Amino acid sequence: MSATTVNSFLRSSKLPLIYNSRNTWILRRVFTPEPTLDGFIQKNPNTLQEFQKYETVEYRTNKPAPPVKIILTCDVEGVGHQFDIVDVSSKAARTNLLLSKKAVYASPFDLKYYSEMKEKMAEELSSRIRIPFEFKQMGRELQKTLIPIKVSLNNAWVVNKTTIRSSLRQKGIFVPLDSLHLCQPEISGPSFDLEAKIVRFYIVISKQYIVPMLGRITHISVDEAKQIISPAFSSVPSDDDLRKHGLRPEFPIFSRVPEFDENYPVVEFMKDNAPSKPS
Amino acid sequence: MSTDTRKRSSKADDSLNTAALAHNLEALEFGRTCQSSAAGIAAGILGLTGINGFLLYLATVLFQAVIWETKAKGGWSLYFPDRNSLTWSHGNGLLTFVLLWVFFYGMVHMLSLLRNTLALPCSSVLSGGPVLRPVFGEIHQVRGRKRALKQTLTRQQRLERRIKREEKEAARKQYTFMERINIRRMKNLLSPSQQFPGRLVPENEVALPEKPTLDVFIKSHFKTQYYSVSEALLMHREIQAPNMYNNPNAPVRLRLELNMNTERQTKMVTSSDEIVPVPFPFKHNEKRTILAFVQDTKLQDLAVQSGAEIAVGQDMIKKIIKGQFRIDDYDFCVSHVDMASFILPLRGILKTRFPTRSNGGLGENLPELIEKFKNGVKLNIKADPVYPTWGLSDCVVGRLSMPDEQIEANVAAVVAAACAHRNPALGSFVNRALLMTIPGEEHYALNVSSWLPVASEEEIEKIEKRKNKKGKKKEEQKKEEDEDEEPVAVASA
Repeated sequence: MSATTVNSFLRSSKLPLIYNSRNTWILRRVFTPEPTLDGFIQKNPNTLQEFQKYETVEYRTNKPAPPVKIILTCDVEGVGHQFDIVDVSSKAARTNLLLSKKAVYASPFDLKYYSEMKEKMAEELSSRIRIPFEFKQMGRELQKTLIPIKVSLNNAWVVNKTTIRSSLRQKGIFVPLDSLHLCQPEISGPSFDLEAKIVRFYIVISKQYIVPMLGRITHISVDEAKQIISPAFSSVPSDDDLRKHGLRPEFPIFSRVPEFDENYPVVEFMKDNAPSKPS
Repeated sequence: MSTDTRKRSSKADDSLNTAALAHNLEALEFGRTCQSSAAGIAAGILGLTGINGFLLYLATVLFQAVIWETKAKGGWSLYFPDRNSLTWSHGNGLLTFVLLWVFFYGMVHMLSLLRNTLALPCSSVLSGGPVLRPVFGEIHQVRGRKRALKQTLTRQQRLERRIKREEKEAARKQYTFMERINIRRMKNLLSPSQQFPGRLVPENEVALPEKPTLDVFIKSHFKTQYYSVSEALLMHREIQAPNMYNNPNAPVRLRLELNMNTERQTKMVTSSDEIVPVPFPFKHNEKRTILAFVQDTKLQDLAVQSGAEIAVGQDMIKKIIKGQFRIDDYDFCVSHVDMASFILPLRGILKTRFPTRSNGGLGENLPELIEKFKNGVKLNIKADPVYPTWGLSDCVVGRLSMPDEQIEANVAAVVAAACAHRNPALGSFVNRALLMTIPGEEHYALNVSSWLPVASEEEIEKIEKRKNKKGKKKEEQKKEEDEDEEPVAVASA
């Protein structure tokens, strides 16, 4: 039988595949033989059956692998910045980071090599603008939602910070009043023409990260007879939809120093500097 | 055998009188048949089996041969062409013999055997007799079962049966017929605790971080955040403002999620209905019916004037006990001090509505008492029909337009009243307290820890002792195991 036929035979048969895997068992004698006294010849430890009994201390193969220490060769979102030494799960390291050369093992050589490189590139690294992952993640979550701004059907209303904060809270987003910035002039009612109008406002996260948000005016009433049924747009409107409302797509912007405080003209700043593409 | 044949055959060997020969052979055949049938009958009746039967046949054959020889008077060749007195026609003879032998054996012996087996099945079973049991044995078994029915029960058995029956009945009596139907229906749906806004299950939030690190956060990404009453009210007021939901005087609803388990594994906190007097009454637009117990007729009139539905005296108590006067329709009862000793038998009937000093229902100033309970908060503790360890309580504690401190005081009073239903040593009775409005879906978890009763150390010890009692046996077993293991450890060390 030639080699190819043997291979195909093995593949077709239902024989279990034998993988080259390593199993580590740590065992301990149940009965330990007495130590050999000085000047005596050592006995064969297998003379008694008792001495051949072992109990398991640990079966390493069953335990999850410990995290791996790696050095990042570039900025990786959610993991760390370039040249950071981080512990990541062995799966993430071996299936993603190491294979794609985003990271290397923290071997003694690499540790030395990359620390030197870090020192060399110190200036360049410090000049780089890095947005903390937490900010980015929050920004993405916020931008994904279109906030229905609830206004009364019966009474006079003004879309102010409190209205928007309450509407955001109904969507499960908790925001302090100072970090909200609205476009001027204020929108006010009662005016049913404004129903479903899309409004731009800004949320500033920790005075550093401006997230442009979209709200949609929705009239509501406690009186069930007056409730309006209108299609609920849960997804963010497209660029064309925005243009109809005189808006343009905007993306978050980051500042290294916490300068976007309550009194900062966020709206004017965004008019000139808002990025039209995600960073 | 005729003499003519003999004479003729002796004259000439080659000439045979065929008619005489045929006659003679017929006689032989008849004799053989008679002999074999007689032998068969005899063998059957005698109960011979196997070779013995054939020996009898052989004996009769020999006997007949002797008869035939004497009849032929020694001149066999005169009457027959060959000498065959022993060998004649055994084919037919044996067939007849076997037929009759088997028939008679069957008739005589098989039937008697059958009769014997019918008469003595029990004894044969007991003595471990034949392996095969006749089918008719079943008749006997039926009789046996009937006899077992009449068997007297031992005291132990009777006790066991009674306990079982009582358990069954108690399980049935726990809920009424309609409740049972509703429970069955609700098991297919979400339990009331799981319906909006749901119940807080701490295990579901284990993986989430405790506190948000940024000033902006999304609720679902963190563990439940607890607010003070004033913070929660501020948020509600913003939403209920005229330019939004336009309901600034909305009733404030307190939704308590409860842990209903008690010291005993199988017993839960019972559902109850009571009125909690609150320090800051408000307009609740609910009808409250209050029953007043008072002896003096003047005071009775006063009680009715001040808002009691009806005021009754000592004479009514017996009627209440007998069930002639229904007290189900009354939300609460108040009592004047002069009736304190007379109403004691009603404790079991009124349960949580029973007026005492501790719940404030017993006093001297009836109009004040009635006023207090008329404006109180209706606290309704309901057990979850699907998850018996869960409970739910919904009540209105104030209105949004009221000052924060007043609502806070009311919430404190209600929480304290609810917590009185369970031993504080068991842990917090309130799993989560939500402040909501009617109508409205917004809910904010309240930090109620400051209003929960604190258990004394003695009580906590008591509970732990009770728990340990059950765990003791297991511990002892473990200890024994440890002792067994110790020498091994020493040896390995």
